[in-house]
Amino acid sequence: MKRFDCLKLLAPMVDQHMLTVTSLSSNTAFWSDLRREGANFFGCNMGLCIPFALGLTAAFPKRKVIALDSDGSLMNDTSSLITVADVNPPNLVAIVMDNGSYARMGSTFTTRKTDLEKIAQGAGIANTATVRSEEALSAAAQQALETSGPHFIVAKVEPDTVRVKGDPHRTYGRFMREVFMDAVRHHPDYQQARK
Amino acid sequence: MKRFDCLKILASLVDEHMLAVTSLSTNTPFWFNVRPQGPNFFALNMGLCLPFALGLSVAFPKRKIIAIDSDGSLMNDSSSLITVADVNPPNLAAFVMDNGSYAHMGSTFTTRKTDLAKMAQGAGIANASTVKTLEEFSSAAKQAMENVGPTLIVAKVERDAGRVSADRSRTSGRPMREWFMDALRRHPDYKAGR
Repeated sequence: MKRFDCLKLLAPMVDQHMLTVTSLSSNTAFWSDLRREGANFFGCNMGLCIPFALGLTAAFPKRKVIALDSDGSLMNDTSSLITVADVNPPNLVAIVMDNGSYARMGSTFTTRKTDLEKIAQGAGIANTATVRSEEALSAAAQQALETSGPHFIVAKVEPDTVRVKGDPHRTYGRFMREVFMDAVRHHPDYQQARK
Repeated sequence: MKRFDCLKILASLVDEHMLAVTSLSTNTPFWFNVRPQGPNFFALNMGLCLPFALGLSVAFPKRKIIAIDSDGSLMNDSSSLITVADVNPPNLAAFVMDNGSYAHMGSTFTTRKTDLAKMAQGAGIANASTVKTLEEFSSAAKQAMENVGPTLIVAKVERDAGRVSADRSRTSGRPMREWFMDALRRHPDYKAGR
């Protein structure tokens, strides 16, 4: 299963008012290609994708917030899963693209033994799944978007051999943040902070 | 089950050449009480107990390394379980004293849902279990001392009423570290760095 195919399959399921957050690396490049509109926060540093999404779920309780994380990133802070389980946000969908390696560094293993789904269950997240085919991912994602969560899905993907670059202006740094904040300000659920 | 009773049992299983590492808070004064001598590193900051023990297990491959951690501390860096599983040290025994709360802060919950033993299994540590009685703790601890491979035991303990303190010059700061380093230098397996 290829990561790009997974993300291509997810993109049409995500409506214009849902919010998405991606981890660094291929997720950012691919997702910025696939979802050009709406509130997207790209390239969260390692370990920060799910915590950032968790914050957004509290700010936008009526919308699904989709965290597109990856295994190396999540392993940097698996403890965030404990916080997710404890806060128990009904609108969080975390999808972890697990290629089993830090592919950008020339395929070094992330780990040879870890089962991230089991860690999530241990942390206390009830709705979890590991998927190995596009059909299974499609079904799991559909269910996650329609039912109350939090949901945690591990998608086993191949390491990508080609390095893809997203548009750096849209996926990185201050301009990306401005675009994100603009999308948030135009969001129908957005309320200005009281002064 | 009381934490102090668990640690008393554990101390009776630990020989003079094993190395022990404790997390902050109650583990430190209790462990100092039951094992004042030998190589002990006390009061590692939150999340650092297991990683520190992992390092020692590589430096002293022939001795058991005892990590006496607690739930609040381990939850600060549960990812260290993944590293433990990957390094797979044969001589690491980790004990997590789980009272379900940050008791020093006046019993705030650490979490209401988490099963740390299951997280450890998910990380890839095959010998991970939860114990709820002293008999279970005793047999699990004995087993852990004989096991080859990393072992993690989550001991569900009551919150300790009252704050215990120990000799601070032995359990914190520079004097504690000097004492620890001194014990290492006199350890039969110690080899001075080139």
